[in-house]
Amino acid sequence: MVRAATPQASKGRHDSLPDELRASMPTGSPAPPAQTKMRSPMLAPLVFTASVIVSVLLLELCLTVAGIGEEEYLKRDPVMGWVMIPGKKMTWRKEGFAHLEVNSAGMLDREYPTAKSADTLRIAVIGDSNIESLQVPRQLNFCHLVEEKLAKDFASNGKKVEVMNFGISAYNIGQLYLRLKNLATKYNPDVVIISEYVDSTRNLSPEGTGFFHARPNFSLKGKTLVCDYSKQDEWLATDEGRRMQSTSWLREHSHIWGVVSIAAEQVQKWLDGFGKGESQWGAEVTDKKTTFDATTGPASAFGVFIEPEKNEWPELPSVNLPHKQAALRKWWPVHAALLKEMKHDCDSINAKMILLRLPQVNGYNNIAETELLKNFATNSSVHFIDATDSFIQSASKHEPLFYGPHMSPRGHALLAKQLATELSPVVDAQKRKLPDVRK
Amino acid sequence: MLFNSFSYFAFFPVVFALYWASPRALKKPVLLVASYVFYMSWIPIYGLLVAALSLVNYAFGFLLEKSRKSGSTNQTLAETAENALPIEKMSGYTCTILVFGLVINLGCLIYFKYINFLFKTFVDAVNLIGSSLHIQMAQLHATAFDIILPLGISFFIFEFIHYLVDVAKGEKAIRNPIDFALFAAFFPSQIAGPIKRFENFIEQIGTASGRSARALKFRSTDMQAGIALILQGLFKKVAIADNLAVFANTGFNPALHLNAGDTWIGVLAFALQIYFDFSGYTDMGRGSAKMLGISLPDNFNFPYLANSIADFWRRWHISLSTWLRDYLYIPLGGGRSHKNRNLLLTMLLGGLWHGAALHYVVWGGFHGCLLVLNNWYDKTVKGNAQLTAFHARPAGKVLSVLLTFALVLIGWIFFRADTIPQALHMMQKMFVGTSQTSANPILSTMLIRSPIVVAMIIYGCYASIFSLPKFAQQKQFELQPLSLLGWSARIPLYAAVAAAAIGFAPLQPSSFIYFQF
Repeated sequence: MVRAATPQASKGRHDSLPDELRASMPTGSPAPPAQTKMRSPMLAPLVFTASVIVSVLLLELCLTVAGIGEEEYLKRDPVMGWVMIPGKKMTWRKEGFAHLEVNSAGMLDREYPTAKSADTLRIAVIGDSNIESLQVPRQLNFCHLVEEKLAKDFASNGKKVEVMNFGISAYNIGQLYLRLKNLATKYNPDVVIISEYVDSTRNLSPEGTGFFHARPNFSLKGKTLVCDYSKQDEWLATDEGRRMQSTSWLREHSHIWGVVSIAAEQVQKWLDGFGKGESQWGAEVTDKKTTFDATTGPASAFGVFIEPEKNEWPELPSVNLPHKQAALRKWWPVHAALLKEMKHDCDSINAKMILLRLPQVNGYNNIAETELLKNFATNSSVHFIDATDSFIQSASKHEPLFYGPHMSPRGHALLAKQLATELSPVVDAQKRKLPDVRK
Repeated sequence: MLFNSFSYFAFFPVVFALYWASPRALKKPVLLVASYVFYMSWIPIYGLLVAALSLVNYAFGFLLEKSRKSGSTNQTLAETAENALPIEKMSGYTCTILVFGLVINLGCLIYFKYINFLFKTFVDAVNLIGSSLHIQMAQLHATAFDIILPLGISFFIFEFIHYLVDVAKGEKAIRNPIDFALFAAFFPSQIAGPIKRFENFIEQIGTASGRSARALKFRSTDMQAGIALILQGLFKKVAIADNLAVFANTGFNPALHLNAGDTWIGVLAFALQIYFDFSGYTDMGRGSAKMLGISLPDNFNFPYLANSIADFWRRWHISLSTWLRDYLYIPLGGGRSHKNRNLLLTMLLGGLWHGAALHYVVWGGFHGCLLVLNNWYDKTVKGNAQLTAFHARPAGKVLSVLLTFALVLIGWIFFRADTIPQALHMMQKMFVGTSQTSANPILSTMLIRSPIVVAMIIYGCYASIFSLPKFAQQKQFELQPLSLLGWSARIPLYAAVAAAAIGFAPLQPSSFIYFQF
């Protein structure tokens, strides 16, 4: 029997439905029965809690399957400032694309035994994000490509070669020195390549705030190199530092956290640019997508400033920008002292040190700094490789060498080609030192 | 200000709070000011254009009503749309005023949207003739009018035309200037529709005397439906459409020599992109309006599940197709005389409405031809028992849906391509192949990198779950946004949908496709 709908009976569950759904109900259908039981006051919190759990799990699952929110791969380290999270798997989409995994030692590379086998020649490459190579799959980064090229030569006499990637984002020369001393030397490399990016001298300055400025800073007291951790300690005591510490588990394990942090970063960008222009969800407003193109490159002649202005350092080409010149003048002695220390560490493990000058895409080539590095290399019997010229010569509009500030697969292939060629004599010399395992 | 921008997510809560906190008398002025702030955030001067057109059309509404009174003593103002005066029975005076009003509106549309297209066509025609003028014309063409298309002009001009025609046919003109200005500038539908009907809109916002019981009252059901629609739209736009844009843009890039598989992926991606982009925008607009207590018409109803082209147009951009039916097709004669001609003409003009370019006209013409064929086939099926039985079977229904989708897909090639030769070249690559195709697949490789597949699966699951109740009841696909669940269950799910939308958004967002129209 169909009970007639009374105003009281038609109230209740139907009222919580939207108009569309109410409209969609067949006319003449009986009204739902009025609720006769009182709902438990605990029901709503229970449903809410269950819904939170289900939502979080569902979202985490979806993001994991899609490989989203995995870009949080760095954690604080009391000695180095920051290191990669060992074992972290990630899909990198911020620039380029790659599925990557950090090894147990915190390197973006495969696993290596600490002890080197007798028939193996090890090359350690130490540097910043240019070496780290988040933007390309490991099989396409220059370390792997150089290893492949050199392995062909080595296969003939039964020896192996390993090119180990010790690169890590935003490290300055001081941190590279610590990376060499604390990690790379444990693997007894035969060759150590120290990468030098443009303006690496200026980045020794402790100025600046935030995660990437909270690091050990080096300075010279007289002729002694001093490492100062005060900047890092100060930052850890700030709200941002404490927040970063307290959320370290989430940063390591949660995809949702990764998404939230990207969103927060973009909200910050939007707030910074408020009133200047429109910023949308997902907008990477600072991504310039420069192509290192010879015809429409970001600055004149690839940022190599041809016409010198007033040169305060007459023995060197002009830096052209006064503040950069001043920074170079102030921090070069520290830079040189760190390089000397690195040379000393390399000598102590009988490894050959090489300085690799990487090209810069941002329209500025600090020729003065390059000259200083060259002079240091000559005076210290360090091999010097400059990749800038080969990049300028190979620039192409349609096949960019860079995604943004970092190399594309083509850039990696070009660098690998040059390195394999220039490393050959060095590697040959080191190879001769290895015992012949065939005997 | 885009619906998927941070600016909008800062703007809307402020408007929402001000609106509901205002006394009833101030609600409409608040909405009106907000609508102009929204519109003028892009190019402020165009706010004046909207205001001027609103003023002109408001005045024309009065003139038409007055002319009706003086021209037809038998006509009462309370006439409904069903027994409204047909255009051919209007008095000469009313007709003159109506034509004058339409000329002003269409003149504006032509000036801002079609002047360059018309000029270019004229120059091309003159050059074809080989007149001595052609050199001068070519020089003139090189310095064509530098006009920036006002956002949403095609939409609000159509709303004005609908207003004038309906008033001329017997509807009451809007008395309150604020009501009219709000109808003309209401921000959730201002930029890309849905194309509103003023009778429905004015009823919802209430008259000046406040007679409508439902008008501008806060209802929690509206809030729920509104939030769900905004989130659903955000996910559709940023998680799905913007990810698909990468494939569509690559697929339609004439500089790339894609192989057949890649070209198919590019075309399919565009078909999905335009649906998710436009329906996502519409959902966000409808959701915003709903939260302000106003219902806007829906624009889409699972269009790719249509079983014929006629059915597709009942499900795709519904507010435009019904507008074209009511204000173009029926005045042309509708199905009473020269049905095929009327269909073809309506769709050709519908194509031109989308953009001032020949490929849009071809797209419209293509759909017009399909509708004519559809018309003929319907008659054939009715007279053939075997065909009727086949179409009643599941296999027949599935085949109809697939065939309709394939035809719509071909139409999209003309819609998306920059030129007709490019569209034909795309079709050549898809069906025949060319000698210049790349050996390595590009788009299929990109698919591996993109989270689009997961985003589509999520949306598929969501759409299936939330369209089931309607399907079970009425065998119709229609999405019921999350509203089926209680508040306590819904809040975390809302947060999850918002996080997923942000997470799945690509680094390079795309503008709304329909903004250019």
